[in-house]
Amino acid sequence: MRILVVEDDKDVAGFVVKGLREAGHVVEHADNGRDGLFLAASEGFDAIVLDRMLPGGVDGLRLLETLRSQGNTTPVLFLSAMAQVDDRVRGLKAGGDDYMTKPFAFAELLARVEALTRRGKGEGPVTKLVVGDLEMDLLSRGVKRAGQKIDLQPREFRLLEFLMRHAGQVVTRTMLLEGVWDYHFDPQTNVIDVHVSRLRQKVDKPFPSSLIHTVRNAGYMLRAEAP
Amino acid sequence: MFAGRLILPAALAAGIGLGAAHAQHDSGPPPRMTSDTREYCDALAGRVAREQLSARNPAPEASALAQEGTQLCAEGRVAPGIVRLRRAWVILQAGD
Amino acid sequence: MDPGLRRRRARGRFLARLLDMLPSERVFHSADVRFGLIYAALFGISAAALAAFVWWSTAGLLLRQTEAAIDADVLGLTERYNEGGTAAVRDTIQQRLAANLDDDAIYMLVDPAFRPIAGNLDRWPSVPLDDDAFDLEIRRARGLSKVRVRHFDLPGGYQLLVGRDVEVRGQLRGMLQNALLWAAFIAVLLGTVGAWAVRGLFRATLAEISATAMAISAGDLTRRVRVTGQGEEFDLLAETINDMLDRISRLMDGVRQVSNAIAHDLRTPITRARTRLEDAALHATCEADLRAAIERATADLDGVVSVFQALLRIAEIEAGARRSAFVPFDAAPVLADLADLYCAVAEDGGLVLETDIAPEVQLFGDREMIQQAVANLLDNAIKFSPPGGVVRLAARQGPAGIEIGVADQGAGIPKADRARATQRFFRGETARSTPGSGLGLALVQAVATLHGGALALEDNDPGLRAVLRLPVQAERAALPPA
Repeated sequence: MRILVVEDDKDVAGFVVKGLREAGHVVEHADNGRDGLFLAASEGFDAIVLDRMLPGGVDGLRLLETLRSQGNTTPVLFLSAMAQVDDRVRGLKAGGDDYMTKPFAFAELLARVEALTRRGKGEGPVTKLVVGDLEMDLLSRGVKRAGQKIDLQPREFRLLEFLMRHAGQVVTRTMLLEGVWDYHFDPQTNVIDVHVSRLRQKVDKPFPSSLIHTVRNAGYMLRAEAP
Repeated sequence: MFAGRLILPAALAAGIGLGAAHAQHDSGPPPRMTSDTREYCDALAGRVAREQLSARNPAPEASALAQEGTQLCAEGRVAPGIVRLRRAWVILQAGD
Repeated sequence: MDPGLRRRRARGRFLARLLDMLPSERVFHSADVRFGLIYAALFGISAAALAAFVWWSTAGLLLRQTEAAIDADVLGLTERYNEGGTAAVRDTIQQRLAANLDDDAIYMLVDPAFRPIAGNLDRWPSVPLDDDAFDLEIRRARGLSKVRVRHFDLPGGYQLLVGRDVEVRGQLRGMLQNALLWAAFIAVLLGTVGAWAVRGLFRATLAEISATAMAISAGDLTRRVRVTGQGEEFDLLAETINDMLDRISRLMDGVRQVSNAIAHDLRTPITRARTRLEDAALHATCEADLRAAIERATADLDGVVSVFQALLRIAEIEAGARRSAFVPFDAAPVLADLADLYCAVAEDGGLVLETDIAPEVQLFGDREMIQQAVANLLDNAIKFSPPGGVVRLAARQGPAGIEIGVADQGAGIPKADRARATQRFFRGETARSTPGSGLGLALVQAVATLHGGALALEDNDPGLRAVLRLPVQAERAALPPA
């Protein structure tokens, strides 16, 4: 994937760019708003990681607003030290697709950026999700693995659906909390882990191979082969 | 520079100082009234007496007043005398 | 210096000093003087209006009466003249003089040569003949007298004067004028004194408030504005300022509290992280050890970050700015989702999570805040419950407001600690061994206060029952006490 990183802090930028390159992506970097805007508008990227506070007169919000007004729909992930709810709302309203606060774990950033690109591919309406021998029928709300029917609670169904829609990608606990339970805060307990382990009991345990894998220090991934 | 400081006292002076000018018509000695003298009293007494004589029904108070009036004037108290004579006259006039 | 110059200088200085004593125009810019002047002006205008009315009705009346009498006289004489010429006028004058009980009539009839024919003046007064009506001074037995006369030209060159003696009335008028002038003077005096008093009053009240404000900005937060109990508006102002000062004082206490707690509770994980890293730098023998130390330090720092986030969140809520984003919403699905989220954890801990949520729980507020608050309560309940217990989430809607309760059967909070439980970083004895920063209840309290409601910590016997009571929308208009 081609990713643009617009970040003025040298250390953070270096860290992010290096990490993304190691993950196999092609990364461009700009350290101020004007250059970032120029690059984003002139070259095609699959995703943009955009810092909120940028020097040079054009801050992150303005950059994004300008891009969107030009009809550019590249998915954008905001990075910001400003963590208040208002700031997140403003960032998303300006056209952002996701919002992360500093300090952040790189694994989280990577997982979310990759999830963005998947979203950006513009999938049409889907009625069925298939991963390996796992099938999910979205119309009838039924799940089958290797032909066998699996009984799921409504919440478990949604959890599995989220994992399947992000199949092959790292899904962090935060992403699951936001995506499945619409919960935007850091829970003190390991609520997600418990739910995932229950799901595993139903989806993985009765079968020879595991589909739900734990990615150390990051989260989970649904995949036919082990990552 | 001083103007500002003088505003207040000037205003006060103007407020207090304005007095109405009394124009007095006065040239020469003032005229003398003739209806409060001894002479007038006598003349009035004569008139009153003539009225009394020609009256059909002279009221008794009228003659009493006329008498008092004449006496007062004779004593030198002209003003009260004239008043009584005038009252007598008015009564006599009313009686007609 | 020559003596002439010295003298001129001295005179100049004297003049300058004299002018210094006069109030400068800057005086008019101060509010209290303006206030006082407005008062004086109003007072003066009312007094002047009253005086004018009195003058018009008394002195004016006297004049009008005189004029009316002269008019009537003239009318009569005119008729007589029309009937019988000057002879008739002469006779009428004589009769009228005889009947003049008030002794105030003035007549004068003269021939073209100014020889008197009838009347009670000894000679024609020396006045300009073209004046129609004028005042005249005559001499009579009791002295000089002022008369008001009207002048007529009769055919044949005869001239007539008809008037009234207005000396007494003039004296009356003079007395009235005197009295009113004195009254005006006294009014001006009283007005000035009153204005001064008003100005003083104004200044005193404002001075009190500004003195208090100055003392406070200098650092003395214990000062309050004095409430006199006399003036409605000023007392309201004083009370409002005092309320504001109370709130500032409380907030500053909160800040101090937090600073102290932060100093302790954040240094610990930071110190731990630092120690680990230093230890690894000095004593690590292989890369695996280093890596492990770094990962643990990172986790510690993440813990510090989450404490900061929580503190910032509490501060944001307490600042109250988010109240403008309140909307009406139904909390029932939010609570159901939370129960769903936490039931798995509860079961893992050997607990049963029961729910008793009303079908509709209408609320006016911030959805995410309520979500976070209830999540904190559930978190606590599950954390502090021993296996085999029941955690109950109940929500109902009443006429006064809504009630959300989370009850557990754990160790509970001893009564003595309940008041302090919602303070930041407070951890009771029973909680010291469990993980947590002590900010959970502080956040719930902040959310409750922002929504105009309250958090109550009650005995669940055994255990704790935390109840969030929030009023219905209508009462939300009033500012909640901080």
